[in-house]
Amino acid sequence: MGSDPKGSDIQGKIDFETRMREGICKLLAASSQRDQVLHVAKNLLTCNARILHYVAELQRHREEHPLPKEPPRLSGTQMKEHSPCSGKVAISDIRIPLMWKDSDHFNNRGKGQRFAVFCLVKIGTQIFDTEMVTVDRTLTDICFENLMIFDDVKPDFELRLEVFSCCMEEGPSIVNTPKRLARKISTSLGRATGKKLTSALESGDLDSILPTNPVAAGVKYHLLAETILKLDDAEASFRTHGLSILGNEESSFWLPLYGNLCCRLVAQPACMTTDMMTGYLNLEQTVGGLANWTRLYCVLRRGYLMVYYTPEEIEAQVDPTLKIAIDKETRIRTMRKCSEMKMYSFSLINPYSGETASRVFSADCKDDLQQWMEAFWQHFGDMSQWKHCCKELMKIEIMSPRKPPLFLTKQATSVYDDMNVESPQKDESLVDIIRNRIQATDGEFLLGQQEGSHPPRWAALFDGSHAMVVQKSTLTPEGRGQPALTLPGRAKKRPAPSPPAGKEPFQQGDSHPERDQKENSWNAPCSSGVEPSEAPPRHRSASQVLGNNAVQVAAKLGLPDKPVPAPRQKRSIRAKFDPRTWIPSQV
Amino acid sequence: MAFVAGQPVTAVVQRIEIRKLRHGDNLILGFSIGGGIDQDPAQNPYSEDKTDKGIYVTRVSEGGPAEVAGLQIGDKIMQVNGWDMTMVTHDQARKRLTKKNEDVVRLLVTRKSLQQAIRQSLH
Repeated sequence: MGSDPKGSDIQGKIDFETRMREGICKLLAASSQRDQVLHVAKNLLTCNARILHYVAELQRHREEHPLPKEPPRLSGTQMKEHSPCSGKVAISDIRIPLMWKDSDHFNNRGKGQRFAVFCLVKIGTQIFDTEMVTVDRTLTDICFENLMIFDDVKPDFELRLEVFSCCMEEGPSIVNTPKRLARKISTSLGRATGKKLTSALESGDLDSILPTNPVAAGVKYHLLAETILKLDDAEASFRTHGLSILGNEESSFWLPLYGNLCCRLVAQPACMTTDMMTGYLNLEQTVGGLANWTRLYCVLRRGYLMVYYTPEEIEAQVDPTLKIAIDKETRIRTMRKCSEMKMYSFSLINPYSGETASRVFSADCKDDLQQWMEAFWQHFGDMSQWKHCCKELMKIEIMSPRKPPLFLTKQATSVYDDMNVESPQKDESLVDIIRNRIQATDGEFLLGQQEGSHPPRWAALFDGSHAMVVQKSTLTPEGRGQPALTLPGRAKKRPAPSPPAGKEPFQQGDSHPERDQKENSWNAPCSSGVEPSEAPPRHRSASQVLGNNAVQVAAKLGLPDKPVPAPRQKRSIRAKFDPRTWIPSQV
Repeated sequence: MAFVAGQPVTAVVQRIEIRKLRHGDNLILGFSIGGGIDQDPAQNPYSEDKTDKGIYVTRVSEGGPAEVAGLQIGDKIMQVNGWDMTMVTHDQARKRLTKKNEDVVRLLVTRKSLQQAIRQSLH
């Protein structure tokens, strides 16, 4: 197939994809974890789609061009058939909003059903897939961060975006079990279901072309929604497009899509990025009635004819001497021999931008003139085809602009968790406070070393000479037996029993740590934060611990070993709106 | 320090007295708390038992009143000025600590190191 380079090229791609597919099928058979199976199934789907498209393309190519293709020769006066230049199309930051019922979304009783979603984006035979995103009820949008660039795209392109989804969970039975149990179940199921399953794919006509797909049950991606984008949708900023949704609520793969898709579709035609034509031209300038020809280096790019004295000026990034806009209003005409000197010339005028006289350029030879006219015609053709993309170059950004945090994947929380507290939050000001304190107390407040090394504060518990209080939080010291625990939901909360009046729980002889504290409130005992390993372990019997107080000693210090599920409590109205998070607050 | 509502809890506690620092209009204590019966206990990095919904100290500011008083990160606060903190919401806990008319808070805190020390001492 040496004479058919494009055909052999496609065939090569088909072969490559077929090999990939075999590899993927083997991997799928070996996968057991559900996540792995999903990823591999996604790859398989992409691979199949690619093969399908390549084969179709090859067939089309063979039908249209049974003979090896030859480039048409450029004849003297004939204009070449103009096809618009190709360009790059990039799509990025695809975001699909979801429309959960708000009771579902804010429900914090477990995550509910989870879905694996990904998108397949195709232009012609170029197919890209996005990453796979796990979607559950707490997500408001499905976001794909990938940037996909398609090269060599004609302005009449059709970008097909297909959204595939697959339900991950077996059913709601997993949802309500406590986490530890659920983990055990899912891992034990994973192996079994993995062995049972291999990939499954929706393939209607695929079977005729490809060897039969490995048949499986569970993991199956379904087409959830699709849309077609064209050149008109390309713009430098984000735009919203409609989605046509397939499937209905009964389908297993159903996700409540809002019906829109936001993305950034950028088209960069080649005429905007590359130089269409460069060369030397002579510009006629009439000075004082005399025609004067100046040799200039001209570059046709991005809708402008930029005129420099020398090509080095471009590298030096000097501004062009002249910058003439070439757009559909420009009129360019070849001129007949106007003078003996310069024969191959053309005139250029932009009537609508206020120019009255046309400029006359002259090329060195006939071929040059031909090429320049070609370039201009090509340029006009491109501009009419690529339309608004030619006005300004759209940038293909690798980094997407920052999305508002609302759309970032985040668990649904309530605003109460972000509430500010009265106390100031800055740590710098605390240092200032301390500094001021040092000055105010004339150095008494110093975080300096104290003489001698103090044992850790609670080491005093163990040196045998102190009465230790081990308070049981359900009993008062007087043994009244009031429960300190109050059930939530009761309007009146009773406080825990107050410590015995007049009796200090720690008695450390003379140096009472708390009394020290009260006098020099800012003396930091250097014992703070010291590890218990320094305390000499002493043998103490339980009776010694009782001390002076009538507090019953904690007999049982161990933890109950069985895991205790979180008790469900009657919640206040406000607590009902607080989904469970764990956010600290400063006091 | 497993905690079951309705069951007696035993813990070794340390009494910590924090004198609030006045900073302008505010009284600050110099530490941060996390937890509460309305919070998700599984995300608590300091609790031994991940169903414990008590109030834990998540951060102690350097040189602040709490650090000076001996409060350590990871401590579980059992009582504040006599009020129980083992079964409160996060907001209630914060309020009990930041009462404007109180200059001093006396906390009963417990930590794993205390418990271990006791256990060691008993054997």
